[in-house]
Amino acid sequence: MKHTLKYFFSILLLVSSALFSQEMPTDSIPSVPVKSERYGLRLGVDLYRLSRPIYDDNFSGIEIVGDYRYNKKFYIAAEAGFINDYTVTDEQVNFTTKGGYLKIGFDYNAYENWLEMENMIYAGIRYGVSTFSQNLNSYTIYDSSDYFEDVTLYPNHEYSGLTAHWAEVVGGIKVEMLDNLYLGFSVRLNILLSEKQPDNFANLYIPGFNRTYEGSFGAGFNYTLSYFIPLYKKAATSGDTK
Amino acid sequence: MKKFIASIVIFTLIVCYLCSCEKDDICAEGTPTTPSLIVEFYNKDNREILKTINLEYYAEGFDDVDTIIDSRLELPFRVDADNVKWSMTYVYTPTSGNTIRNIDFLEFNYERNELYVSRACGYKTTFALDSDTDDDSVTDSPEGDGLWIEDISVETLNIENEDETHIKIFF
Repeated sequence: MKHTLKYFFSILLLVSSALFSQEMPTDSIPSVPVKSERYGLRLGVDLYRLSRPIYDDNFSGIEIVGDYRYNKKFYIAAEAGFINDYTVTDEQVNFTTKGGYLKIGFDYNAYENWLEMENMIYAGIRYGVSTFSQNLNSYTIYDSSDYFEDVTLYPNHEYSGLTAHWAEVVGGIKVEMLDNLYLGFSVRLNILLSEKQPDNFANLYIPGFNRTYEGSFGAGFNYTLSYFIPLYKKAATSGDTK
Repeated sequence: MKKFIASIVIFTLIVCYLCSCEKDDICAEGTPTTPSLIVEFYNKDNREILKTINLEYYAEGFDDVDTIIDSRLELPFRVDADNVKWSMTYVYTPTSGNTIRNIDFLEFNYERNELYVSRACGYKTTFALDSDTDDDSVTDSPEGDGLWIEDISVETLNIENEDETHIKIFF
C-alpha cells in the first residue's frame, strides 16, 4: 500500500509537471527535461490584400506583416503595406488613392499554450503612419432642386504629399498549421490622430487606415499567412509565467 | 482566458458596429448643398407686404415648366454655365375678364465656386451674382405685353445658402 501510494504520487507529479510546466519551477524536478520556448522572427503576407485584385479590378496593393517575440507574452509587431491604386466609386465622387503605410506596435499573447504549441490569441496596439496621394477622377455637384440635370465634372486632379497618423487597437489569432507556418486573422479599430487634407477635398480612404468616416474612427482586418524563423531557444522560466 | 476571448468577440462586434452604423452614404436632408436663388414677391404698392403669385416658370432652353402659387420661389442656377435666363409667366384673372398671362424674363449672370461637402453629398456650387444685377435684368417677352415686374431689389450678391432672401420682386 505504501509502495503503491509512492508510485501513484510520483506518476502524478510527472504528469502534472508536464502539463503545468509553465507554472512550475522545472529545476525542482531534475528528471524532467527543461521546457524551452522558441524565439524568433515571423514574417508573412496579408492574403486578403494579395487576393483582392483577382476579383476587384479597382484594387491593387500588398501588406507584409512581421512580429518578433520579445519575451514570453509580448511580441513586437509591424505591418508595412503599399496601395498601388485603389479606385473608389461613390455616388457623388470617384477617386483613386495611392500610397504606403507602416504600423508598429506590440501584441500581447493571452493564450496559455500546452507543451510545444505556439498559437496565439492576442491583443495589441499599433501606431500607424501613411503618406499617399488622392486623384480626384470625377465628382457630381449636389443640387437638391432637380430642375436641371445633375452635372458631373472630370477634373482628374491629383492631390499629392498627403499624410495621416493613427492608432489601432488589434485583436486576433495566429494558429500554427504546419511546422513554422501560421495562419492569422486580426481585426482592428482605428482612431485617426491627424491627417493632412487635400484642398477642397477629403481623405475618404487612407492606405492602412482604410475607409474614413465622418468621425475619426475606422476599421480594418487582415488574414495572414506567415513563416516563423526560429533564432534561439529560451527556457520557460517561472518568472515569465503569470 | 475565457474573459479574454469574450472581450475579443465584443471588440470585433464593436468594430463591425462602427463600420456599418456610421451612415454617411446618404446626403442628409438639411445639409447645405448647392443653393437656389430665394425670391420673395412683394406688393408694389405696399412694399413691406408679401404677395402671393400664381407663376409659371421655366429656364430658357429647357422644357420643364414649373408652377407655384406662393409668395416665395426657389430658382435654381445652372451649375455648368455662368448664365441662366428664366421665363416668368404671371397668371392672373382680373375681376372682369379672361385670364391674362404676362411673360417677363429674368436673366442672371454669375460666377461659380465649387466646394467640397462630404462623401455622400459630393460638391456644391455657390454663386456670386454680377454686381450689375438690377432692374435691367428684367426684360419683356417678344410679344411686348409689357412688364408685370415693377422692380427688383437685390438683397445680396452672394448666393451661398438658402437661409436668406436673395431677391425681392415687386409687382
